[in-house]
Amino acid sequence: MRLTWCSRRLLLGGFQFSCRTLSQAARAEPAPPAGQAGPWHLYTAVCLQRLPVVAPPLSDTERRFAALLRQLEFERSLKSSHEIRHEMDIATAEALRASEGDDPDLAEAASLQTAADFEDACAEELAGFEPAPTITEADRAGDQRSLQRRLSSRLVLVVQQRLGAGTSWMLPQGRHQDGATLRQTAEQTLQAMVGPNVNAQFLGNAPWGFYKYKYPKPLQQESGAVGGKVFFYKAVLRGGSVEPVADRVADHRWLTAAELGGQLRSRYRRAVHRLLIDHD
Amino acid sequence: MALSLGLSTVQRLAANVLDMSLSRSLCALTISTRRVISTSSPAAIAVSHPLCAEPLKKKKRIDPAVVRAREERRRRKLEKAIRRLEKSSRQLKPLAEMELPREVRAELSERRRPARPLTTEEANERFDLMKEWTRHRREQHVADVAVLRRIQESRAKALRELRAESFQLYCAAIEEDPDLVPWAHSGPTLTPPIDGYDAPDGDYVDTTRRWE
Repeated sequence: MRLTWCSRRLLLGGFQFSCRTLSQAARAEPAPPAGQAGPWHLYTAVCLQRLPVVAPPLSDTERRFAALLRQLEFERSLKSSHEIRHEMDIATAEALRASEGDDPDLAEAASLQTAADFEDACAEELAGFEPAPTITEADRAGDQRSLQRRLSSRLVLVVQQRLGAGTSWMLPQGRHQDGATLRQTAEQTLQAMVGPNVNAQFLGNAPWGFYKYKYPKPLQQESGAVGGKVFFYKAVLRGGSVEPVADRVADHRWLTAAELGGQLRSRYRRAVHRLLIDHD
Repeated sequence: MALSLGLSTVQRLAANVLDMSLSRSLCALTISTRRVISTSSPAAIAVSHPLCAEPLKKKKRIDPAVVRAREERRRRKLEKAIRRLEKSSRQLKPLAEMELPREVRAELSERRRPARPLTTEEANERFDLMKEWTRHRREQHVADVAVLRRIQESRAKALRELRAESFQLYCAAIEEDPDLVPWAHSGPTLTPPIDGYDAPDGDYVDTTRRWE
């Protein structure tokens, strides 16, 4: 089979990385970076997610198939004791009507609580229970700062971070200093941005995404670096409270993957989107 | 004279010993074979020092074939015992939830539902719905795989860039995280939890039988 040039490049590109095991790769020293010359500042950004609290509503196919499964299970089942009792109650009532109230035993049997009565009492008790609504106040108000919004989706924390003179909407980002690993930097960044009371579980030591940007010319001269390389780390919100620190963060929002487009710049948004699960 | 004195003492001692019963005093009666000069003919019965054990019995020679037969019998007995224990571990343990209760099993004939035959339209509808479901699940699976591949590629790119940037940080990044596994999460429910809800039924305690 003749390979076209693009499929050959894809094949070789994928093969090159996957055939070398991580241990082999670790043992070999890499060649110097072939990209833009000049140092890059390293940053870690944290993609803090609140996982879905509630299952999404069933689609049409799912609803109909669930009904079919329930029907099949009913057809293949044996009668329960409750059903047997119900049938006996009906038979007793029939016998009572036929005997026209002469038999005292039948009358006594009929006066006990029937299965139908029991079922009604259970239904009444269930009606007395009020489950919490899946569409909350925050949903109706459209409060994007609330964690109680969109309970069936994942929410990602996006902050309006202060950078120099201005601010920018991004995932919480912090500069990496020597002496710490990237994962430690990510944890410190999160605590510095949203306070020490947040309970977040980080997903592994490796970054999940990458974004590179160049500083404007004056900043390049001032800092001596060409730009910044951002490594994204994922974390799951386990509890605690998110209290944005005022001198680092002007504002914050909890957004779904679809809503990120409205808040973040396009190239940055594409880098973030690649590491998110976006079914919802 | 001393000798004769000694003898009479010994004779008395021997009698006492016999009276007291030999085993309790843990002594043995011995017949002295040393040369003793005496005027009478002595029985030369003496009592030994207290022994703290019974003298050893003489070892009889056993036929090696008999020995082998005994070993063989012992080994077969042990193997049989092992097989019996293993058979018990191979047997499937009963699941209380999968067995019909005794009362239900007794009334099985009354509990069966009357078989209602399906019409052609109903059967076709069910068949179509099952095909639609299969199609729907396959689409979901394909979408899932695409999402996972996209995320994997994003991570692979991040690791490539990190390795190009700093080998030391890369090595730290590919270390295993012991806190990550086992991962536990109680998944999404049908309705959200109510703050401060007090369940009237109380708590559930798991009483499943376990066979270790």
